[in-house]
Amino acid sequence: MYSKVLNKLKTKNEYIAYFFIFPTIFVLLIIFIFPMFYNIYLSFRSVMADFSSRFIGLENYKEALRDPLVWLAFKNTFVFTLSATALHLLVGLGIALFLHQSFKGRKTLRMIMLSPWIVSMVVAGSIWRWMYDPFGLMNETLIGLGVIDNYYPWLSTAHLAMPAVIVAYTWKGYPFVMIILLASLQAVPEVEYEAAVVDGASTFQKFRYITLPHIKFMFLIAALLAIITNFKLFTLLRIVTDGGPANATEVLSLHIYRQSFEFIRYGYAAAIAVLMFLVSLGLGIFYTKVFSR
Amino acid sequence: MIQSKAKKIRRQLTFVAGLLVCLFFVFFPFAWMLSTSLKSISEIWSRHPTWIPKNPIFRNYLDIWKMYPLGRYFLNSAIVALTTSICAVILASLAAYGFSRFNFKGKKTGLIFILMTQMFPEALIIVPYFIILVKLKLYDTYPGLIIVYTCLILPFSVWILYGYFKNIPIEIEESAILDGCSRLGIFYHVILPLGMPGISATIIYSCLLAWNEYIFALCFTASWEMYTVPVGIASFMAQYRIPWNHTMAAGIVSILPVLILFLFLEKYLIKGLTAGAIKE
Amino acid sequence: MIEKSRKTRIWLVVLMFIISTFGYGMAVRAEQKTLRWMDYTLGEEPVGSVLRAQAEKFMEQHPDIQLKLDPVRYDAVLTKFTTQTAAGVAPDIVLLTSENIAPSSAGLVNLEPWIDKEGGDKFAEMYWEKGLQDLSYDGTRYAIPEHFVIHLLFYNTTMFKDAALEPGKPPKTWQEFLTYTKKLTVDVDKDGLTDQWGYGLIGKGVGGLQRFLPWLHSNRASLLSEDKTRAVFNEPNGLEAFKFHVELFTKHHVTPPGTPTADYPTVLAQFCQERVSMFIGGSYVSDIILEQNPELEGRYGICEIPVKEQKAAMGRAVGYAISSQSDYPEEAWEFVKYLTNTENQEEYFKRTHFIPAQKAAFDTPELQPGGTFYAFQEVIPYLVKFPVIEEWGEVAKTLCDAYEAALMESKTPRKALDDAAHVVNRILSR
Repeated sequence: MYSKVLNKLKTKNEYIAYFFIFPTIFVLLIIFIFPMFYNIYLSFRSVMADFSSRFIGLENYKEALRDPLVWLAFKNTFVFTLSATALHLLVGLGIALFLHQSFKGRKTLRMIMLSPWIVSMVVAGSIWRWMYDPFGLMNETLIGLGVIDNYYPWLSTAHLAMPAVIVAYTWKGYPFVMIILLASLQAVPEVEYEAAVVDGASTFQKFRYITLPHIKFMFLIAALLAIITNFKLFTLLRIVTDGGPANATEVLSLHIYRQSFEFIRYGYAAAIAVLMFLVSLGLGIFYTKVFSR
Repeated sequence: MIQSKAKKIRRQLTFVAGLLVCLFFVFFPFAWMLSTSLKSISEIWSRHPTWIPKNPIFRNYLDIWKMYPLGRYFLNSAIVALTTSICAVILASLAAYGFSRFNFKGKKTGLIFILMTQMFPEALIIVPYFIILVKLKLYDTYPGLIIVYTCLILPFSVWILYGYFKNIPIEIEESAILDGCSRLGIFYHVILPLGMPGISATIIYSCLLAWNEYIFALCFTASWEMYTVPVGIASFMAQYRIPWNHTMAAGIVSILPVLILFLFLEKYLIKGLTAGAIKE
Repeated sequence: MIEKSRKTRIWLVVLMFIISTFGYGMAVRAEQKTLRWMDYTLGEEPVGSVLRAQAEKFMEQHPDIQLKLDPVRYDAVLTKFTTQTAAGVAPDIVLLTSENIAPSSAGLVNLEPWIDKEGGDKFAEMYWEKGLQDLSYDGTRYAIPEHFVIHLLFYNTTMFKDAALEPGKPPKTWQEFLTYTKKLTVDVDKDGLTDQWGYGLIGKGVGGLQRFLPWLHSNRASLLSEDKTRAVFNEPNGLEAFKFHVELFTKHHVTPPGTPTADYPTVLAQFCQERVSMFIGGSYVSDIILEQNPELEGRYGICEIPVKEQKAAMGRAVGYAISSQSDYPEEAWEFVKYLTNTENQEEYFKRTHFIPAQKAAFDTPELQPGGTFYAFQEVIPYLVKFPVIEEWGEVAKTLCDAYEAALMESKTPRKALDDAAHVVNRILSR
């Protein structure tokens, strides 16, 4: 009786399945595939301000690969992505571990620790930019605490701007990682911890041999999602530094936007965008291959 | 005896220290926002910024509604956010159900395709979107933004709901079929109610995206009547003066609606987000 | 589980909500003639209020015209206008600075026939010739000037007195400027940290470049060659001016920390905080200064930019142009004329202190000899501005990057300029 029902559930269904997924796939095809191909199309053309264009083959790509600014943008994007991801994972894991203990008010604290996530990038970017002002809160506090002795120009020093933005972004972005890790921590069976305590394991050993293996999978997922998101980050960087100073934080997404909308070079921007997408695709594939589930 | 007590105290101290660090880290930008929002323009730029404003100007919170069309921005964002989440939930839950219950040709490709769309940088799709919206006469309209945001949130929503639906035991559906329910009926009466956590998560994400998104809103709206909240607040920062106090006040006010939504649906959030994925 | 009928009702409500949203979004446009007016000054105060009031009055006088206000950001005007033009949804009226005329010209209405209809030269003579010139490209006038942005040096007279400098004798030469700023850079509260600087140098973006321009020209150098085909800013005169400017920060330390990315609002605020003694700004800044620090009233002066070989000051006109896609060019023209008519120009100056473009509006005492703003009028013969080329956006960014790099000392001034010249030549030769 049951097997008959199961078969009914499973067999006569190819078409019904398509009915369910059709709207979504249709939407995604039109709204992701079309722009993608249109963009590729644009990248082989020289496009004027009024969108008239002429075919120029690989010229845009050749120019992009020769352009020191594009290479700099790639470098900045990599540095930013890797550092920001590492920091997010570290902070996210740390706070998740902290929140995993049971104590009164834990649920409230969890809500509080999620709060930077709710704020928009615009608001977060604005407040951090305001705090990084040479005469702003950051310096006043640090000078007051005696950590530094003079007004540090955080956002106008080439080697300080990137770390400064990464710190700001960490404040904004760690909740996402924290939530994923917290959920996976909650799935670790309590019994194992209890057994370990009986065996006399230290906190560190418990972490290393019980916690880590259990959360490893979600940790890698979180890292992948973080890398994908950070690679294409735009708004925060636009508000806090806008690629400055002197292109020290000019990442690919900013540069593509600039080429498109400030220099009105749609074709060239399209070529850089295609390159960027190929690289991120490669990264994704590389990552999944290395850490294959 | 004494040793374990010392250990206990040390534990508590580390705990409190950790708690303070966490709170401080999260709060100080917010605290500074609040502090700035209560100052006058001249006090913002005073030589030594202080945490407590000398004369708290609560009127700033009234002024932002009078001096800028903030009410209109809120209305626009609300309409877009609400409609986006409804559309996203409908489309994503249908698709997630299809993916989770059936095995069909192209299923794996479909899933991978959905993941791949997440990697598209905004910069890659702005210009094509712009052209599409203009051709469809949806530039500078609500539906234009709604369609764009729905598309943006769809892949992630499908992913969450897919993971969640997969964990709904098939036995429940079987008994429903035995009761004579159709496929669509199962979806409507069984899956949706059980999938509420996942759906709540989708609603939160959609609203969060629509409420906070900047660059598409910036490029696809033309007049202040269609600006959403982020675009509106960013426009406070003008060429000659940046009224930080108004910007921060507006920023704080803009967080409130999402915060309220969050408080309501928070308990579903974690469950919905990871329940499915963990089992993989 | 909720009973079927209630659920159906919920779904119906949801459906109606979605339909009504879409319906509202695609709502029929009003029967009135709608003019979209893109103007970056609408987002400023007090300018914004003044313009809105004037627009209200216009709509009262013309009940069949509806104005839709579009307060874009200053740095997004060119982008928005060109992309919207390309998409066929351009605003009817747009406020453009002179350097944005060339890149936008393809989408603008040629105003020559319109000016002729109003009486040709008789109409044009109402405005300063320079204003109309600034807003032309290839010999065609594309916009009617509304105001001039002219930059002069503002200085804090109290700080001058404290440093034993005469408030009535601001620096006139580069050498004097250097001496003055050094004297004005002090540690006021004697805590070991400098907290007052001589000059607020804007390093960031086009604003910084604008303030450097007169120094460049004062040394008989310029950005591009006459025919605008190659970069000449890295020639000896240009390099000398550039070095002098950059070294104010890197060598003499007479400008505050954060200079490389200091923008206009920041430096303006520093002047109001009395952290810097001098900065370069426009006439409209006086109202903003009073708003940020009322105690500065009467304690600052305005003088010309210090000279090396010849006098120079940055200034150009800003005016209203009409899009060639406008459905109602006549109504748009009426509005443009209205905004720039004598009565509104006088009010405009009185309440915002932007330098007006109409000669008649200069009859007010503040713009006459002895008036607070007379210096702005005096300097009109020496005005210099950015070159009017279509690739200005990219060229400007290259120059700004060089400026920031030199200020941060990640490149020497010479290398920064040479690298930039290389890139600019590449851009111009495309």
